[in-house]
Amino acid sequence: MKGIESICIAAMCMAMLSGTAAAQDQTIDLPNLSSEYVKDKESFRLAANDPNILKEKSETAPAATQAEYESPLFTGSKVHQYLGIATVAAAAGTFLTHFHPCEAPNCGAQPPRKTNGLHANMGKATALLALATVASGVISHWDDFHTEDGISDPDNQHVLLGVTGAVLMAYAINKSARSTVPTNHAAVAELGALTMVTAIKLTW
Amino acid sequence: MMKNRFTAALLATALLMSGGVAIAEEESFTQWWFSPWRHKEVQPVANKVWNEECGSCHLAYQPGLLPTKSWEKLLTETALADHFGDDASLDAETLKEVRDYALANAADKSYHKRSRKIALATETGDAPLRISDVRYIKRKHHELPEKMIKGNKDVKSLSHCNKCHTKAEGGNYDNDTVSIPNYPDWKD
Ligand code: HEC
Ligand code: HEC
Repeated sequence: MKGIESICIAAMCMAMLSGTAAAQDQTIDLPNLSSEYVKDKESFRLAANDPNILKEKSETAPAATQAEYESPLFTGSKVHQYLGIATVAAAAGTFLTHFHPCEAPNCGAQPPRKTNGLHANMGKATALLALATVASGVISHWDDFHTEDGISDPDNQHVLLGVTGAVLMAYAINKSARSTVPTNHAAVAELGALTMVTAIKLTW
Repeated sequence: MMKNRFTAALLATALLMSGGVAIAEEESFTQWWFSPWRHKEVQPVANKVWNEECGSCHLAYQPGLLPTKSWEKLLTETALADHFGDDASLDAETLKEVRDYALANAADKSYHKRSRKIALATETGDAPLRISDVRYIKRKHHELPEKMIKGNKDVKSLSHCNKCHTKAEGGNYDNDTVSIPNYPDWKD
């Protein structure tokens, strides 16, 4: 059963991805904000601004002062970056602490199901971190994804895969956390983690 | 259990492959995929002739900021003789070096994220002659008021990337490294 489930998910994802190439050719006719605001602004053109600017010697020495610029330690996009890395680390930790209950007929009485052990808690932390990562990405990178760029855009792929990965992990963790008997949730969780890693790689 | 793991692995591979569609060689797809280094920005310039010849009037723009078809148009003898109203002519040998360098490292040959965005934004339509005409670049600056660019004596034009992007020489255009001269509080 579980195998079939994950194969279905896999097939769905592949179907989604195989649409990639085709989708580029069609422009989706949705009104989108970005095309509204990308109006030609003359100020973008140096030539239109001041044709002599490049010939003049600049009085200031910007290169020297600019080189000293240090970017701030905490910015929205850095918070998103740190959260993403923390999610992957937590997912790896969750994987490493997993254990398999004995299922053979001669196992005897099993210890009660541990929903508060290291593995379970790390799993819950992973789910929370994954959701926080998605939220921070939406906030700090709002202007990085646009439907008009289509599905081959790396930022759009990052969003799709990142959200899918987070949802898969959250689903797997939730499924196990709510069950009174051991559940098979590893494949979906691992798939989620890999999907999220792929999302990161694409825009790393 | 095994079957699930196998499915997961299979799917992961499919995902990995899909990311690399339609990108040609700068480094190979596998080199890029397994490289731990960041590829978020633009490949920094690594050519002395380019830096000298193209960095004397303005920032030596990274070749990854424009697609091949744009560099093909910009870097010819006749085009350089009238380079945006200026004479930027080069002798045949230098031109070849500069042109080869640009074509080999153009946006559509790069795995760097901003280059991939630029390549996608210029895939169809006429080749832009200006980086500042690329949809992606335009969109990134649409909110900046004129007074901060044209009306700013230390900037004057969006073409002067390095006036605001403090790490532009190294190919880094990240928001976090922007500082607009005379407008320390531009974010508000
Ligand atoms: C003699 C000075 C000079 C030299 C040398 C020069 N340029 Fe330029 N470049 C200009 C001027 C002037 C502009 C136009 C700026 C404007 O129109 O506002 C420009 C603009 C550009 C732009 C468009 C910038 C934008 O707005 O997005 C590119 C790309 C460019 N140059 C590439 C090069 C390359 C590559 C080389 C080396 C082969 C080079 N330039 C050498 C003077 C020069
Ligand atoms: C007047 C100052 C100014 C100039 C000149 C300028 N930029 Fe920018 N650029 C900005 C600002 C400000 C932002 C950030 C906007 C924001 O926070 O949304 C930005 C954002 C960007 C981004 C997106 C960064 C990110 O993290 O998503 C890119 C790419 C970029 N600029 C490239 C360029 C290039 C290439 C040039 C030269 C052709 C250039 N810029 C010239 C001010 C400038």
